[in-house]
Amino acid sequence: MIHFKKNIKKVFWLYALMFSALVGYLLKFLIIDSSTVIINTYNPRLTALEKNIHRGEIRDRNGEVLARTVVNGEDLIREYPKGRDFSHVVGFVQKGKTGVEAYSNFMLLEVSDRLLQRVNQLFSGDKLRGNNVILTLDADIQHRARELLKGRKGAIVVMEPSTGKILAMVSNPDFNPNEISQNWAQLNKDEENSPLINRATQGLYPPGSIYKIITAASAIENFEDWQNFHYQCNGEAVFDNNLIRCYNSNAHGEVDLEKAIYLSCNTAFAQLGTELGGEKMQSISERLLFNRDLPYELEYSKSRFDLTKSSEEKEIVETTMGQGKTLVSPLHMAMITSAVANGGILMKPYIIDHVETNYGREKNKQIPEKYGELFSPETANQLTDMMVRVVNEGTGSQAKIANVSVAGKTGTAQNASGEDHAWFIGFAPAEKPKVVVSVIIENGGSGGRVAGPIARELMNMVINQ
Amino acid sequence: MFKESIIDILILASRYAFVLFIFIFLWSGYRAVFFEKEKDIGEFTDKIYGQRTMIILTHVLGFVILMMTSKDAEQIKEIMKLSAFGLLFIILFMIFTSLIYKKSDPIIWNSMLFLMVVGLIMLERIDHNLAQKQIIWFLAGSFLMILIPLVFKIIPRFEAFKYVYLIIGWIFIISPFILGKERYGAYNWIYIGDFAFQPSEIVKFLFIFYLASALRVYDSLKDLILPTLMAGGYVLVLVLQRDLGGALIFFLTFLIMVYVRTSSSLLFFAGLGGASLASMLAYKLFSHVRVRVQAWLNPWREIDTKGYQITQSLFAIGTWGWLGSGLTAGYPKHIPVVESDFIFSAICEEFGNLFSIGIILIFLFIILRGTMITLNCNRIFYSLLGMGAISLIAIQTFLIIGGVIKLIPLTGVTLPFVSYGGSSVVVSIMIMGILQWIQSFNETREEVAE
Repeated sequence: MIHFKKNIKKVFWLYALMFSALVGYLLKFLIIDSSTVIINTYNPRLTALEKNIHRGEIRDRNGEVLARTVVNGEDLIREYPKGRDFSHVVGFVQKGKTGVEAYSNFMLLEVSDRLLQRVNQLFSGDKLRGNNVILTLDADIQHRARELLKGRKGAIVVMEPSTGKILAMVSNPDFNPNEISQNWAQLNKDEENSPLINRATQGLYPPGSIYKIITAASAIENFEDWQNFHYQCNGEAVFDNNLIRCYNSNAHGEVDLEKAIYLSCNTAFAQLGTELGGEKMQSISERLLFNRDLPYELEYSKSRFDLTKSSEEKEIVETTMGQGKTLVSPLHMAMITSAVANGGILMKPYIIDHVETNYGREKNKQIPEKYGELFSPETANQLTDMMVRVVNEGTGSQAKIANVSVAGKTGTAQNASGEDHAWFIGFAPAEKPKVVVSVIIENGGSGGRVAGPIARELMNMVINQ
Repeated sequence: MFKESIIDILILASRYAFVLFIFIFLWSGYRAVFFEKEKDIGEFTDKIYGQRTMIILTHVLGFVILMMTSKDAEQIKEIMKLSAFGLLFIILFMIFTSLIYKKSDPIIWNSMLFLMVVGLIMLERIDHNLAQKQIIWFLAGSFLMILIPLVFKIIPRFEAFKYVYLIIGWIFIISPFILGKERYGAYNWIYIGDFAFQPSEIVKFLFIFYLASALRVYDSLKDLILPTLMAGGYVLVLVLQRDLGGALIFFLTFLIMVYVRTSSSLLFFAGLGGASLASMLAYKLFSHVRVRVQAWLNPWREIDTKGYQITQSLFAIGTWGWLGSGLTAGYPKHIPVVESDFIFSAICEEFGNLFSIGIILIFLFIILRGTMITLNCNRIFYSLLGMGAISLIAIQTFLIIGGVIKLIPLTGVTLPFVSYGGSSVVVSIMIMGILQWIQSFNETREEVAE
């Protein structure tokens, strides 16, 4: 009988354990998983809520309204006071949801202080209001960036490297989110300009010479005596029956690694490629998130990199100087650049800073989060020095700012669609970076001459803010 | 407009009230156990009445909200009638249980009532006809339960009838093969006219009686052979009828009872191991088992087919957070089979998750008090019987709540006392009747002996 009672107690504890598992799992679901689960489009509650809830506002970091809902008789109409400035990143709600409107859908429909709002409503007659979403974007920088892009196809990303905050993100051609319904058919048909695509995150481009900082990083990591690397540049050279030319076939003479970077010497990087080989390039590129998911929550395309252990020399030399089959998005290049600026550490890029209830209470504050170390601090420092020389002595001279040291890298990427794409990535001030900029101008020609001044203007603007 | 806003405000405010009621209910239960240990009868009774007040307040508030939100006058009258009927049931239940079951455990009765009341409110909110039928099941179950002590008085040594339980059990369990029709992909229902019921529910009852009488005498492993074969047979039949939940409940209850009797953890784990092997075999053999497991592993991949039920359940649980949408303000009708298998998700949605955690704790309270009853027994037969009764309820509750929150794969069983369903409600109430009868029998016999 004694054993018997002991056994009964044991069984009770087993049941208690099972029921604790129920409570524990339910808590885990509610606290951790539910926020991502319920935004699913199969959740019928969201559609039902939309009809009855005054969708919250989307604001920039200074409180400027980027999207709001206005009442027009019985209808609720979504308005975008900044028009085309934020067309891609904030998105729209009328024809399926995109951008922040899609990602923050539940936050914008979630009603806080329901009881209090209901009581107020008795006197005001308003509908219940969803929470407001406050972004890290800055309307002034965004506006300026869009002006600088005007008339050209391309994209710009401006980031704060120490936190991962995205300050501006523009893509052109764009659209007017206030007239999306009227223009829908036409916007969808326009395959030549594809205005609905956010080129900053979904556009994939050959990197051209901006990829050289990755080759350089691999050389610094793999060759102890990289500082003794020398190459005699004659403006062109043959690798594996394949002629490689420098820009305009300029002969750079004797170059070391630093000089090869700031003069953007293709033949020297082709030579480095043959010495490094496909496997090492694959390893560093994948560490830098090529062929991988990016830590970014809105829509984007994965960057591509094609070298492996068994790649042929022809492919390797083209890839290490930035051509080949590599494709990268402007956001991804901004992330790699901000890791260099931040001593090798990549902070997760983010756009949604926090949620604010209608009574001004702050919720769900996004704390800057470290993603990981992309480069060692030493490598990051070496790359920074080289990039400063790009601006001071090399191809990036158009990005110079008086009394501020700027780090940068130009790229002029050959492509199938005609004239070269112009790239510029950079950050400033080099010793204590406050801003990272990544610019691409499709078929713009020389990266230094076309993309450089745009980056300069934006970096200057952020530093002086 | 103004009236509607006031109603909305009341609904929102009621969410706090419901959480408060269930909290006070649980707290009073906890204090009652404490005062019982201290042998402070006055305080103990006080707490029991505190619990009863919470049951009535929950019932009244729930039905007031349902009446307020109802639009047409005819319907309001109907709801009012049902509510009054429900209140009468609650009070009669309280009176008769303490009259007929002398010295039984009032905390268990209260816990059952609380669960039944919450289930009734939810059913009325989902479908008035179901709520109407449910209250008849409550009455039928309670009536049969009241008969238990009377019947047992007439038949004194009912541990002697093990073969009777066995034979009747087998007749019931194979009856769907002859009289059955498919329902929700399972073949475990039989129909007599318009009246449908699940024989496996009734067999539960016979099953624990059989096991308790068969295991009463245990000298060696040889004594386990016949019970094992019989239990295995039931489980196999239920698997063939595609009642996976039922099969699991029977099998685990059997394992627990054998463990309690033999003290052999080796047997227990060997049993679990055997069950795992059998599950893998079932996974290979039966497509409906595979569907359940795949829907559990990744419901998002096939969200509009295999994963539909569970994802809709998760949306309901997750959308409104701790306090819920407020009664009538959610969308529980979008969840498939919400009135039976998924009623817990609907409670999470409209009463909120603080409340739903409270519901889980009430079940745990029943298990705790049930365990205390079996510990209090001096005869192995009663103790085993009590253990069987608790196990049936505990395992079934775990399976269905675990299923709808996606802790484990879904096995379609009902939530005892809460879900809609004649056989489920009647049998769950009667299982509790057995447990209480054991308590009542123990306490009153001791008194005579003194």
